[in-house]
Amino acid sequence: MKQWLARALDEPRETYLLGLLRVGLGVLSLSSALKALRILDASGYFGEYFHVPLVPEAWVPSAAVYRATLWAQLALALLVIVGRFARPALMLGAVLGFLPFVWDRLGYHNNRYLLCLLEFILALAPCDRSFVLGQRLPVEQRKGPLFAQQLLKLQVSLVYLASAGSKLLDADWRGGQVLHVRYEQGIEYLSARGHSLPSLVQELLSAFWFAEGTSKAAIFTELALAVALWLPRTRVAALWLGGGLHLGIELFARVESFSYLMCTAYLAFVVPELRERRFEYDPDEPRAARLARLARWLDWLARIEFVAVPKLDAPAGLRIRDRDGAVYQGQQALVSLFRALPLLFPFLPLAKLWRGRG
Amino acid sequence: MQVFLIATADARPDRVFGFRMFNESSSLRFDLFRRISRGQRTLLVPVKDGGWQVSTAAGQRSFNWTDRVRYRALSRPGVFVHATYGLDAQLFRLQAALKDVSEHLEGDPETRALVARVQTQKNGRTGPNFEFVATRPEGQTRVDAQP
Repeated sequence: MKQWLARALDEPRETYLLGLLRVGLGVLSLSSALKALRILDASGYFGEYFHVPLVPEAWVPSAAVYRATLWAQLALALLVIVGRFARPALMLGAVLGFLPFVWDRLGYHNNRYLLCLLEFILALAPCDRSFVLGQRLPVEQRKGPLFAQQLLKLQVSLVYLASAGSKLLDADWRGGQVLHVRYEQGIEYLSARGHSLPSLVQELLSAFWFAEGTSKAAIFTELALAVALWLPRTRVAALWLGGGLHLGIELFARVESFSYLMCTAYLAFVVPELRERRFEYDPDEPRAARLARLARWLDWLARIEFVAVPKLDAPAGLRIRDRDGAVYQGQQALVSLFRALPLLFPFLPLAKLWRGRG
Repeated sequence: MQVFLIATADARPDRVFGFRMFNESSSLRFDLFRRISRGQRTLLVPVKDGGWQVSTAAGQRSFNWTDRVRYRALSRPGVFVHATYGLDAQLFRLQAALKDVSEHLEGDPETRALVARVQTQKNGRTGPNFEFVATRPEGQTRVDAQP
């Protein structure tokens, strides 16, 4: 335990993924500031009509100051993206992003608040050593202590715990009533717009047992994610489950950037070390060489080291050595690829099924 | 700090800083009225489509609920709308909106108070009705809530 804590908090480790996380948060922050500016231009300044400040009214700024705040947020988000003065920019961006909630609590949204929190925490981490415009540090200089990354992970778990806990304590939620009404409203919404669902789907969504089952499943999923994301044995399944949950939320509810934010924050749970898997392929085997090119292009998290081995003695001319030393060939190697490449990761269960049948 | 904010979220009507996602499937409808004086009598006049007109020395003057309330979930009186962040949140916001509008009726010599009659549905079941009254005295505007 002591060793794990020391490794988790103090040991210098690769910060490549923190840089990627920084860029992701920067893009979301930029998009949030742009949206706020669009609203300001289209609907006017919130302080000039009905609003509910958390602070005395005299502390609510003028329209000009608010506009300047948004432009500052925009500039800070750009600095965060390019990696220049990234940590102070993250910290200041978090503070400026938080202020509008204090000036008008009508503008509060969980996703905007979470973005501020993640920016604030990431500012404490060495996230400015990779993905920096015009600067490429050698591996040793990229390394740094990742205690703040643990805080990021805690923050994600806290969101799931808070959400699941409140649902669990609410009899209407855990009993299925809340989702039952939502499903009914969804059917009515579609019907009012001239769309209809297949009768089987409609019957399913109207059935109370279905709402009750999905309510319990949603609560269980959120509780499980809060824990399972931390454990190496369950992490892959948790990431897949969480991705599915947020995809579902994105499709069926309007939650601004919440799903993107959570999926970006999942980067904090990925093992920081790079290229611990070795992809060996025969360059003279056209299919293996093509697959290697494609995989290299999709390897956004730098999980794989690609090695061309002429006359490789392996089925289909490829094999993968995993970080634990296990060697995979043929279909097993493909499954291992699906696990490592973000774009293919959602199809991991299908790949496993295919391997099972093969 | 965060654990404290999450644990105490239920103490805040709009659950801010609490990460209460999709907490309810509730809705509410409010109908607006103006309380006006006619001689010795006090009348309650329905506000249609959120707007009303008054006669002043300078002529007719128009007022509209949405002159002040741009917040979408409360901008349409007379229609059932989803209660974002739950019923408590919207009731709290409606009272604040009523107070705000009644405080910004400069040039309306007629309206003594704004009244909102509220019907609620909590998670699909009929909930209690409320009446909120924002009075316009010479000094401070006061909001009275009656279930």
